[in-house]
Amino acid sequence: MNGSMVASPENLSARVAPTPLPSEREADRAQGHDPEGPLVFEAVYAAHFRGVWRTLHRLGVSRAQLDDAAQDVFVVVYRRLGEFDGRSLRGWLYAIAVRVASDYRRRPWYRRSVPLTESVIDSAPDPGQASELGESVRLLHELLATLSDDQRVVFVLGELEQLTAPEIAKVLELNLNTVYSRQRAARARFEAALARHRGRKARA
Amino acid sequence: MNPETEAFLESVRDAEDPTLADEARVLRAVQVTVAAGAVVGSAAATAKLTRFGAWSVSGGFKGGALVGVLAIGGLAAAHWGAAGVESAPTAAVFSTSAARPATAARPALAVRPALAAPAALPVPLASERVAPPAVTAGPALRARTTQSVASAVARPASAELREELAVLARAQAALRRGDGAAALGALDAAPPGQSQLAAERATLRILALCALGRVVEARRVAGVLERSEPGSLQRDVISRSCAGGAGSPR
Repeated sequence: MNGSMVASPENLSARVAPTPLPSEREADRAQGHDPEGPLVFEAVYAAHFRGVWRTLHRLGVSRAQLDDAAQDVFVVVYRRLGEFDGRSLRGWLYAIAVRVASDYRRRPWYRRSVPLTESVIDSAPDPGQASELGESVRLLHELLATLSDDQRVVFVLGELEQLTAPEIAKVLELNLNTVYSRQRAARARFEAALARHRGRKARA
Repeated sequence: MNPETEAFLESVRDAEDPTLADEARVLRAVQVTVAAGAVVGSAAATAKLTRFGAWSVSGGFKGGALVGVLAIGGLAAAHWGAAGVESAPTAAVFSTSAARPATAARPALAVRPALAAPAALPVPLASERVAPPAVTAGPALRARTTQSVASAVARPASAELREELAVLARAQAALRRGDGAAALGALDAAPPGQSQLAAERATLRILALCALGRVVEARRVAGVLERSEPGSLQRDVISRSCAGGAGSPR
């Protein structure tokens, strides 16, 4: 992971404050945040908890640590909300989540495979669908694990959370060309891994 | 990317959404963390008042140096406006503006009922409202009040006080994790006897009991505390916990 991304989440707000893109404003509005209006923690939590949770997990936080990591993100959000400059709430939240995930991955006890997400199984409408969905999710995590940390974060934010490259550049404080470069490499590796998986499955 | 990969990503994009239980559980843990930070902040304020006399600290205690020494993140500039678990299950509200002055109130927005119902611990944060005793400072006292809070609390505390604060820190850390049982365990393991921070210890016990859903016991502890220390600085914290209204009239 980029060294600039491993800073303590306590120091985030001052670092994530570029001008928002129009799409960011629209996304924030769509998710309950009027950039012109006051921020209320509950509204932020309700609108963004799912995205933060998914992102933490897909960035490598194990299911067992997901509660703690999500809690860490939102405690930072709670503490820093008053300092948030109102530019890109979504970008700000993802920046916090990326740093928290990075922190968790570096912890000594974080050396384990990612277990199957129980929540997927729990929330699926029937066992058959649960099994299929669970298999897809397990595969997703296997494929994500083939990416480097740098590739993984741009892939998760871009392909799964559907941030644009300029948004990712701001979240990660990277040059836009660096983001494009990592995206290309991540996509290629992900696709190759998926093709290998399907090839194995076809032969089996 | 090729269509096959796109299709795969589309199928899993929203597949890992958390459940409502996940959402409520983490929200509750955040609430407990914020509130527990305030309790220790208040405890440090009390210790400071106990040890160094009545200090006029402008604006109230801000979760400062002593909290830092204990490596506890004090969330001082916050305020919970929450109703009790039993009395108003859908009203877990924090009307808060973190890191803003307490007077800069924002409109509160209720958490969705589905989130609030099972577990919203009505823990308040009162350090902004922990008013230091009014002081009519004479010359000597004025001289003392010119010292910074940080330097004051950085003075060597007694071994007893340090031990008591360590107990509070352990309990607070457990509450931060949402682990009410461990918080209670930490408090129970503390040596008995006269405590300088009895009110803070009792308050953490109340919060731990609330976290465990043991509301009746929490109220009993709150009642005892209110009778023994009617002017406790923790009164407001307790009144907004699940024990609110029982032993801690506002």
